[in-house]
Amino acid sequence: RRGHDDPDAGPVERLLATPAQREMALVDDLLDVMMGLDGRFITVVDAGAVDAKRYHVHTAMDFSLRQLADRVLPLCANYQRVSTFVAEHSMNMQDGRVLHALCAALRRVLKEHLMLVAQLEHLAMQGDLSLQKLWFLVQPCLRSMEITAVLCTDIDVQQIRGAAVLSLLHNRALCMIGDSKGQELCLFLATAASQPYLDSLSAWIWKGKIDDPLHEFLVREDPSVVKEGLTTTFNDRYWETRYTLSEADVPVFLKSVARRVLDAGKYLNVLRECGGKGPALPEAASRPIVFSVSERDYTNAIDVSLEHASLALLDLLMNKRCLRQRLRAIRDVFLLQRGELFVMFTDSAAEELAKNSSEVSVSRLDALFEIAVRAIPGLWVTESDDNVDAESGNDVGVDEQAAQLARAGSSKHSAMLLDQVHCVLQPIHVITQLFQIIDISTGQVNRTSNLSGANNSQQQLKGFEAFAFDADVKFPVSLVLSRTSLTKYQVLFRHLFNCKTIERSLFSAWSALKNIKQIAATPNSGFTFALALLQRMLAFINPYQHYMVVDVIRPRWQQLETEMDTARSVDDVITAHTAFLDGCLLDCLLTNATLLKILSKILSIAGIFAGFVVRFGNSLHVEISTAAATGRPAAAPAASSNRSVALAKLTHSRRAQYLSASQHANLATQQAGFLESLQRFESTFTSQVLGLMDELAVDGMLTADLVTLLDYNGFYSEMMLTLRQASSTEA
Amino acid sequence: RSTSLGGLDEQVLLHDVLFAFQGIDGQYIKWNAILDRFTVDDRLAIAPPVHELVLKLVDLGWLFSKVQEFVQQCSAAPGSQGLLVQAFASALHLELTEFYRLVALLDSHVGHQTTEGNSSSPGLTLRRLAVWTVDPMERMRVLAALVDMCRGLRGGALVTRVHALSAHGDPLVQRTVKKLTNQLMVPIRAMLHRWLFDGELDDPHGEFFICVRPNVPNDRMWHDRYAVREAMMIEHVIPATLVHQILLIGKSINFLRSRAHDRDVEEQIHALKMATPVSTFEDDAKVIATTEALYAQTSRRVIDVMLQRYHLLDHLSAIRKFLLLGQGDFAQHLMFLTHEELAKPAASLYVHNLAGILESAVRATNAQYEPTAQLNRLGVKMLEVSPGDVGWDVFTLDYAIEHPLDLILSPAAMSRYLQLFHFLWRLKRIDFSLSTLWKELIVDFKQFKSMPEVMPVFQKFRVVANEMIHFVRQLHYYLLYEILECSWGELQRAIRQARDFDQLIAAHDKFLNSILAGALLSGSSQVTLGKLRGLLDLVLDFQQLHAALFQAADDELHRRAQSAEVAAAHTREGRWGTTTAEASSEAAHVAQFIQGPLEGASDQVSIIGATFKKLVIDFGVLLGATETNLPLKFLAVRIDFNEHYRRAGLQLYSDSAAAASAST
Repeated sequence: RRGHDDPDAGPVERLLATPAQREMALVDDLLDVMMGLDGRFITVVDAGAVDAKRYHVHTAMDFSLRQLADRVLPLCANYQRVSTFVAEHSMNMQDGRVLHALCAALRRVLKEHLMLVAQLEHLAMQGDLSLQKLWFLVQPCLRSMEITAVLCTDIDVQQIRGAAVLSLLHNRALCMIGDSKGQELCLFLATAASQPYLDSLSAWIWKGKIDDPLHEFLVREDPSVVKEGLTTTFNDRYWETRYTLSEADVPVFLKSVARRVLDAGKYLNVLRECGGKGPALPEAASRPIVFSVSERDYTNAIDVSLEHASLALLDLLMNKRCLRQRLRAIRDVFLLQRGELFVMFTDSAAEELAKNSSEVSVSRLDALFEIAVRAIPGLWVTESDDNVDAESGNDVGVDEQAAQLARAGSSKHSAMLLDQVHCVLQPIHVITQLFQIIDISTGQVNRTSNLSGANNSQQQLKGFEAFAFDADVKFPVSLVLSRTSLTKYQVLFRHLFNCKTIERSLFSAWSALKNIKQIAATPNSGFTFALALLQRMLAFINPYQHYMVVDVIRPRWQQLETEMDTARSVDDVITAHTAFLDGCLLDCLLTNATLLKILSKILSIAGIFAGFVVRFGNSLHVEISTAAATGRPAAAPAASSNRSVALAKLTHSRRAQYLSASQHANLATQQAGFLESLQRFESTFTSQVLGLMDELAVDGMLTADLVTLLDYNGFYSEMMLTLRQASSTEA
Repeated sequence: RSTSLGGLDEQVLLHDVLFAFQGIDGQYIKWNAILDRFTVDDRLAIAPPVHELVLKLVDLGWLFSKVQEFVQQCSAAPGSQGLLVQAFASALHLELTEFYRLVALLDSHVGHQTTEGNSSSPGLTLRRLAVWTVDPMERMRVLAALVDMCRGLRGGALVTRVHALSAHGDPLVQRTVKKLTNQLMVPIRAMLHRWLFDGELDDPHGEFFICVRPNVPNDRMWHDRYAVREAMMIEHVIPATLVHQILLIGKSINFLRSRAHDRDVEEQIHALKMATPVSTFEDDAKVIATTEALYAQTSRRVIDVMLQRYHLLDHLSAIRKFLLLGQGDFAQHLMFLTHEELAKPAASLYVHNLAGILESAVRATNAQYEPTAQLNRLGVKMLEVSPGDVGWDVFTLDYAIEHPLDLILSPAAMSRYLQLFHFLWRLKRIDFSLSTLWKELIVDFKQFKSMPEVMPVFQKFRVVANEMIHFVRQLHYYLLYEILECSWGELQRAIRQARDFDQLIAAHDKFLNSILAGALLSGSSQVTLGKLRGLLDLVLDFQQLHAALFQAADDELHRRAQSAEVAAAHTREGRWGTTTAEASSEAAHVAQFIQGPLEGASDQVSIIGATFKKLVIDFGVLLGATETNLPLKFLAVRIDFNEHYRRAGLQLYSDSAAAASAST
């Protein structure tokens, strides 16, 4: 032991002659080492170790004393470990708030340890501290310092921060159920460490704000994802990707509610983006969230918040932004639920739409559509506040003005939805678009490019084929009516419109044939055949449309309405709406590539056939009239006094005309080419319809209705039967 | 312990340590400037653990002296680095005072033991001191770190930096930072309070986030006098949107002070000021609420002053009526009165003559019912005369604007208005001359009835004139109705809705810009404007051509009348009316007239007509191709309402394309 008179280390034995002196010196030294200092007899040998091996006790000490000291030494090593940890992490901003708070708590543990040392010193000064007594007194401290040191080592080894630290603490606290002191310590540390995190949590679930300067919170914001994307891109992921759950940052005690936490804040955020103060916060918001081992404590607050937020947002969407009315208007336009509107519009726009799509004037279509809308009184009357907040944009004004509008119940706002809906021309055919959507949703993108590329270069679309409606939707309605949903609506519309157009052309083909039927009604002529085929096509396209509108869209819409009634959150509405659209697409046979292929073939055959018949009829008509003109002089003058005579003469002369004409017609129809192409049409059509039946037979319940509708008199099933028999006999 | 202390009394060492805590050298523990730390006297033979402990403890002293050094620097030169640094220093000083209290307390424990000498009492030991100093050490560490981080910073940047540390998760750090920030905000709050309620900047060191530029001319006063100092913004405490409102409030108050002398507002603001002492600003929500209230109040008031006291809307309306020719009868009459005068060379014109004409134009039309306040501002101005200019080139109406109206109707804006007037006046002149021409053409037909050979040429004139009239009328209609009236309506709506003076200015700027863009006077439509100028010049050429032909035809008519008279006289005298020589000279005269002026005019009018058509086509194509402005596109449609020019253009271009392909 060194003395003041002998600075060089003299023989310890000489200085500490008696065992009592040695023990006192050792106790004194132990106190120093417990404070993290280097002792005189106890020296550090291996700085890396965390137990007694770290220290070496001077061999001059008695063996038993050394043994006992060795047992106390791990405490010192652990103390050293913890204080290094605190020094390393407390001022480094990168380590995150959780570690900072943990360090603050650890400092309290260390301070208590130092207080113990001070108390022990006091005892020692009074000469009342033997090594045995010291060993006894440090017992509680020994265990807790060990737990703490292990914790620090684990954090350092795993190099974790933030939520992972909290998970670790939580698990430790759970593991210590048997050791109440240890658990208390772990709880203390966990409570302190989780405070910043839980503060972030409550800012998020009550205010929708991310208060997370050091990036530890479970919700991440991606500022590059903007809400404007919702209205422009198909499959935009704003709602899914603007705020995301960072799985690595979910502490274990929030695992089960993380999803709900995310949703609650997201809803609040939408409310905030839309301005408006929103409803008052529930009383639970004022209670701070504190750490606890049982999950129920968190889930309660989070559930209250989620309910509050989702109801507020739902109220905003449904009542202030008139989501339901908007959806109805969209349905009316896109899904042809307003027959009168649609008929009025197509009648007036038919001429425009018959042009090539590059020559169609969209603004004229818009004007015609506007006229059609205005012609129907009371269509889509809403008390929307959309253009109000577009103008002023300040939150106070919006609510007030919305309220004023609601009070006024003004009908002048029917124009609002009109502004929203407008006409567009699409560059690709609806079938192509449908295939693209199927590809996008099934994730095969290769074929998409082929398809669209091929079609684009091939031909220019007619106005009828390119025509579609579109709508400008503002945030937050665009959460529901996103570009994705609108595209689906658009596809449905274009499909329905396509069917309607083909139906129309079939009708005109029918009337073209009717015109000449009277003349050329010889039983075996091609007319009968053509008429029969037309009839069959109509018998296909009519029930199919009926099926789509009445059996698919209408009940599904009803279901959507009921689901909107019972919806508890915006996500419910979004889900229901998406389900509605997807269901409609599915049941209208638009999502299955094979079915779609057959369907498109049938429709295009019908379209081509109608065109063919009309052309044929027209040319025939021209021929007939020229033949009639050359064959006989003009009809007798109507100035005759006897009307019946005149009429008889007229019919006579007509008959003569017809006779010569019908010869022409029969000649024309008996031309080999005409009959042949008719048969080709017939066989392709029949085979495609049979193919469709085949495919539908394996499909679900609702399509069975379609089969019944199409095959109401067993025509096709009979045909199928005979075909099968034929093939079996052949075999 | 005495053994380990080498016989030295622990209390002596403690005394030294406590002195060292405050950066003072003790008996054994001394500051070593080279090592930049405290050292224990080498001669003192104390055991290594004690030595180590002492060194650990006096670390606190090292931290302390860092902080204290900073505080002393600041107090040595008070205010040299600004009020915020001063506030920072005083906040730090408060913390240090806390620390002194602790040291004093500790010292009393030491003293207690030495005097009593009673070992049983719980006196201070080095180890106890270690317990005592755990928290102060941490706090001092934070303060020292702050001092290090903030060295050299001032103003808002200082607050921002200090505030950044509140992201730290340690509650102790948070508390300390919060306390400091609060102290730091004291001068800012005082400045804010003064700015919000008095519109004055008490900011000798340039630390506030709003600054004043004293040397700004009056008309830019509102725009440039006060500005936001980006570097001094305190984003966390006062967000940018709020800063903008705060800036507006102060500006508005200053404006009201200097211009309105409005007791009501002063009273109101004063009452609000009394109700809101500086201390309420400690609550951030209060700052926001007060700002919003003041913003609404003062902004509204400024707009009211502009509209009611300075009659902004009336002046704008007068400018529209006179400078933009909105008052039709006035413009027409003025044109009627001045068109002869203005055709003279510019140098021979006098402003007072023109002013007299203007006066009589006002008197004779409904413009006389305009309020005199507006009429008095109306005047005539001659632009700079360059050689060869005629009156048309230099004449312009003028509208006098004084402060504070020039905040909106700035000299730059007024020169734009004059530019617009010039353009519209030119158009008016052409319209006017075309009407005159049309009248003359009607007269022509009657007057030259006796000269059938001129009829086809005059017919040509009529066709071209018709085309020109159509074009100019459409252009006129478009400018007056689609551009001026629509923009005016929008301006009125915008003024009604304006919430602050900035929005008022923006509304007027938008009005002016939309008119300029509509009149093709904005920089982007240079090419189109060039085409238009060409078109209008062509009209003037056309008019001159007509005048020349008219003159020639008239001379010819006179000559013929004379020769007819001569012939008649001869007949009366019983001779042959005309001799062969006379007849042949008469025929030569007629032929000369037909081949000379008449055919020349006929050719020229064809050329002018063709050129005009081509220019119109080009103009229409340019409008359709380059302009994104919807009304301008409509103008193209309106000019070509029956697709005459489109067909002509197709013809023209297919011809030229064919010619081009033929030539290659």
